[in-house]
This record gives sequence, C-alpha cells and structure tokens, in this order.
Amino acid sequence: MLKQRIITALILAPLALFAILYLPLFSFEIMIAIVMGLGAWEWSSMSGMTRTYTKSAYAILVVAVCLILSIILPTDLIWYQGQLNSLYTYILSIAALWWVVSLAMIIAYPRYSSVWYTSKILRGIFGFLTLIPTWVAVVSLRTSLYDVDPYYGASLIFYVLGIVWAADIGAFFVGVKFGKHKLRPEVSPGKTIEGLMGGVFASSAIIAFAALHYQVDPSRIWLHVLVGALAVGVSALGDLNESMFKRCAGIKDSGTLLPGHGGVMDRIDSLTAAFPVFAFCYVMWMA
Amino acid sequence: MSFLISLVSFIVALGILVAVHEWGHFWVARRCGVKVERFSIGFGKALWRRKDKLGTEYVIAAIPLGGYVKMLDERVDEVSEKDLPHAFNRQHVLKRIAIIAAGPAVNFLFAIFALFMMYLIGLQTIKPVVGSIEPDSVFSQSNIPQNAILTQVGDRKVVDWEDVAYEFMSFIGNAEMLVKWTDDKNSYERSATINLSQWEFDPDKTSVFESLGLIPYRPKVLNVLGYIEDGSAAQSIGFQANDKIVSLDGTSMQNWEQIVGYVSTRPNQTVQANVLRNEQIVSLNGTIGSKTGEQTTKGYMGFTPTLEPWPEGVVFVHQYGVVKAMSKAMDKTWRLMTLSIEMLGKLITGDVSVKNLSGPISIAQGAGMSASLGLVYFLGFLALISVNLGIINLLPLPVLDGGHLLYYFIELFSGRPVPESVQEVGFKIGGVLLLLLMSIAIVNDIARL
Repeated sequence: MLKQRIITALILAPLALFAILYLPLFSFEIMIAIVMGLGAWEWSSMSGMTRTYTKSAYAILVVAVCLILSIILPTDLIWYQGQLNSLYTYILSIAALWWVVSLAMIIAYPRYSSVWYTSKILRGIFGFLTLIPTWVAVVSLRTSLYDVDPYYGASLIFYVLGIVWAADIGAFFVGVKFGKHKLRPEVSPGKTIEGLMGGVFASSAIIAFAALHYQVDPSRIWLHVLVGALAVGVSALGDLNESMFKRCAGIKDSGTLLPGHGGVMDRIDSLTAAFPVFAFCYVMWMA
Repeated sequence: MSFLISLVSFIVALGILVAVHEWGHFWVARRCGVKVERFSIGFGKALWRRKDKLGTEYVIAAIPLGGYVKMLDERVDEVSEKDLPHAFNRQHVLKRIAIIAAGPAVNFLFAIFALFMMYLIGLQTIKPVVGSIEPDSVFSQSNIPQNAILTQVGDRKVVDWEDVAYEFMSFIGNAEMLVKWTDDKNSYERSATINLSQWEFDPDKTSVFESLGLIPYRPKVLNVLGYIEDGSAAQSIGFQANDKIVSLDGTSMQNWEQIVGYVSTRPNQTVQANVLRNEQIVSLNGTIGSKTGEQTTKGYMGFTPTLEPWPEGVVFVHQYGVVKAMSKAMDKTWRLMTLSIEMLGKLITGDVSVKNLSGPISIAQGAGMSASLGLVYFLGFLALISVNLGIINLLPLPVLDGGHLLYYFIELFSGRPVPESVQEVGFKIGGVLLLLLMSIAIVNDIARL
C-alpha cells in the first residue's frame, strides 16, 4: 500500500511541477479545470448522486464553468493594474465566507445537518463552492505579477503547497519517530500530540523561509505570519469538511482514481480550503 | 555579575508569576470540586515534590520557563467511576470558564498587589520638567518653554516621566497628540496639539523622548569631582573628591564634556592640572591612564563628576496611605492593561513593528536592571510583566488560556463541546502563530544584545 502510494506520488509530482512551472497559462487553466472536474465526479457521489449521467453532468458543469470563466476573461486581464478582476474577487470572497459557514457546520454537526443532509441539490452546491473557487484561486495566484516575473505566481502556488504538505509530512514523520501520546485514540489512532507539534514546526519553518524569500517588510511580517497560520489551519478544515460529507454519504475513500491514495478529492481536500482562503487574503491585504 | 543578577532575578520573577498564575487555576479548580493531580512550577525533571491529603502533588521542576496544573480529565487519562464527578471535562461549562479565567485574573490581582506594595513603600520619581526642546524635532513646532511642567498627555494626567513615556507610547501611529503644561505651580494650564506625522521611533536606538526631541530636565554636571576610583590614574595624580578642575595643561575647562574630551584623546600622556581645593589653586602632575576598547585606546582617569542639586520638588516620592495606595495601584493596573491591549492592536495594524517584540532575554535584562535598582522597582517590573502575561494568555489563540475560553464560549452558545477535530485545527493555527512570534521575539532579543 505504502509502496503503491509512493509510486503514484512519484509519477504525479513531476507532472504537477511541470504544469505549474512551464504550461502556458491557458493550458494551465484547462488542466486545473480537469482536476476540478475529477474532484466534482467524486463529490457527486458524496452528495448522494448515484446515476452515471447525473454524476457526469455535475462534473461537466464544473469543468464548463471553469472554461467559461477562462474564455470570458483572458489570462492577461485576470490582473489589471495590480488589481484582481472584480468577478474573481467576488468568487474568492464567497469562498472565504463558505469556509466560515463550513466551520460552523462542522462545529454544529450533526445538529442542523437535517437542513442540508437530505438535499442533494444543496450538497451539490457545496461542491461548487468548494471546487470553483479553488480553480479561481490557483489561476489568480499563478497569473499574479506574471508580466514582471513569470515564475512569481508559481512560487506562490508552491508556497501554499509547501505550507499544507509540510504540516502533513512533518506530522507523519515526527509522529512515527517520536509519537507517544495519542491525540484521540478512538477516532484516529494514528495521530499523536508529537505528530501535531511536528506538523506545526514544519509549517512554521516554511512560513519563516517564505518571509525571508519574499523579503517581507518588518511592518508586514505579522500579516504574513497570520495568513500563513490561517492557511495551515484552514487546510485541516478542508480535510474535515470532506470527511463530514463522506460520512453523510457513508463512504470511506472519495474514489479509486489514484492507486494507494484513494480518490482525487482525498488528495486535494486540504487544498480546496487552503488555496481560496490564502488567495483571498493575498488579494485583500498582500498583493 | 550583572549576568548573574539578571539570571537570578529572571528566575525569581518568572517563578513568582507562574506560581501566581497557576495558583489561580488551582484554587478555583478546588473550589469547583475538581481533583487537581499536580501543581508544577517549571517543566521537566522534578527537583522537589510533596503530596497533600487531597492527593495533589506539588512539584518544582528544572526548567523554570513556565508551569502547569494537571487536573483529572477523561480526555487525557483513565478515570475511575467514583472519580468521574471530579474530572475537569465533566464540569459545567461555566465552571470550566471560571477555572481557566482564574489564571489571568490572578495575574491582574497580583499586579494590583505588587503596585500597592510599591506605593506603600514609596518610589522615588522625577516630575516631568522640560529641559530643552531640540530644533527641527517633532516637539519644536510647539511653544512649550524650557522648565515647563507637563501635566497631561492626551486625556490622561501625568505626574512623572514614567507616566509621560507610557502615554507617548500609546500615541504611536496616531496623527496628533494633545499635551498640556504649566509654567510653574501657580500659572494656568496651556495646551498644544503636536503633529506626529514626522515622528519616527525605533526603541532600539533612542528613547521615546529623544525621538520626539523633548529633553527631560537634568541637573547640570559640575567640574567638581565626586568619586575617585581606587588605584586609578586620578588617584596617583593626586585628585581628591570635591576638587574643582580649573584647567588642564593651562587650557581652562568650561564644562565636564570638555574635560572628558581632553582626557580621552591623551592616553598615557603627562598632564598638569590646576584644581580649586579649599578655595586655593593646587597644581597636580602625573600621567593619564588608558582604557583599550574594541578598536581604540582612550585616555582614562577614573573619576566621576558631581551634579548640581535637583531644584526643590522635582524629585519626589510616590508614597501613600493604605487607601490611596490601593486606588492608585488599581488605576495603574487598569492603565497597564489597556495600554497592553492598545499596543497589541498597534502591532496588528502595523503601527508598531514586530521588531519591538521582546522575548525572554529582554525580560531577563529588565528583571536584572530593575532588581539592581531596588525592591520597589522590581515590584513595578513584576506588575508590568504580570499584566502582560495575563493579557497575552487571554488572546483567543488555542494553546493559550484564551483559546480554551474561546472554545467554552462557543460551547455556551452551541450547547455542545467544540468537536476535537475542530479544536485540533485551532491548535494548529495557534501553534504556528505562537511559535513564529516567539521566534521573532527571540531573534529581536539577540539582535539587541
């Protein structure tokens, strides 16, 4: 299982790296749209859709929305005079709001869940709110300051990926090596307090490194640290959000597309929260 | 030696403040019927331990950077059936709020107590009399004359320079500041509104007064010698206390700066000095000593000057009766609390740079400095740090008391404990923030050394 997992990762990682760094912007938009489409296919099962044609329709709809956005707004107009296009800004604001609502839903769960639990449409809309802003966020970050430095946007994407994955990787290795005190023995036996601290350390290291790399002004360091910490936290929220919907639908893995990893959603769940929220903060306060 | 004083006073200060904070949790937990398993000051290996009748173990541990109260809790360990009513997590949420809030609350009470003691003992302090205003400074736009006594900054009364420094600090990032003063005791109050747009303040480089161009009144330094170091060049030349230096090598000396300048540029050279001793001129001959710094060797004598006496009423003692001391202590604690919150706000808005964050090393230096000045100053320092500790602990960051309180207040509204999975999200955010802010503080500390 672990071997399969590593092989899958070794194939996907260089592909992702290549796409983020070298793909022309429009192709990049299409590629991310396809990934969102795969996520949507899995989300449709989590929303309780069972028939293949409804599921396909849902996935195609998500891809179509992304493609329409990319056609009506050419890549060189996403940022205009240092300002993100207002439609994209709205979408990111709605996404930020959605993650606040999601937090409230998770805290209250299973209370009030009857409101949305039985409604496939509502759960489908939640998928929209999760996936489309992620596409907008990734594309907005990628095209940021593109005419100044074509790799700057890529570095922002790597920064978010770094924060999120450092938390997971740090937690995994420190947990394996030093893990002693179980966090919640009955729910997730693999998690330990030491692992949690390892994740916190690893993410902090990435945030500190980024502060040096981007030469953040001392007066803005506080903001940089706050947004970084928020990204760490919110990525865990993405995880919980997906788990909640999986639990509703009574499934364990979101899909079987990635050998050893489960589904696409299982891989990108943290990112669907981290990217929109980070991009929102970036657009509002840091760009 | 000063390092040792710093270290010892730091450990004493931190020990007291941690003990006080944890005692707050401990005392209220006991009142609420929660079983306290351990009350530890410091982390790590136990240096001393003792158990009481109720089964609480008291520990003093090796690493003095904190402490903890371990309460019986089902989430942490197995709890037997009969102990269940005494487990922390089984308590009503209001009781849990009380237990957690007690730590910071006791920090504030302790600050009141320390300041109360300080005002009872009495604290020597200096009235805010203006010495001079530097040209082309922030204050040069005002018409505040020399020897004016500051009475109010913003909407708060000030009685000594410490008050003034605190109030000036609270105006960092503001556009303008109101200052009131009197010429002397009898004349009426005048006021000026100071435009602060040109104010640049880096606490590492200058004092708040220097940055504004406001120089506090200081008595003049006289050419009269005060103290002669044993075995120094000054002693072998034959200088004595109360000698007034008139000339060196025939050059007449107008002020003390001139003497320092003359001596420091002539290491190991012979000198002829005329001094006024018992109203007679005495001629002294000898060789100036030297002191080698990092790059240069400077002339050094080993004598210190005397100061003109302070005018009547400028130096005074804050000392009050029991009732007045208590009300003063409460006022001051309240001001320290509001000031800490204002400063945190300015940190978030960026008006105060994170460069000004101080960590344990700066606190240790502060502890050492105030301790070496005497008990009253140490009490004032303890009150300041205690208030800060209380405020920081109330920040709604998971990991800190404020984070727990946040969860319990959410529970109060939602009627259900915050799920542990969500608590974990909070701990991650709080953990990263705290770790990075602490690193910044420690880096700042080291940069300041």
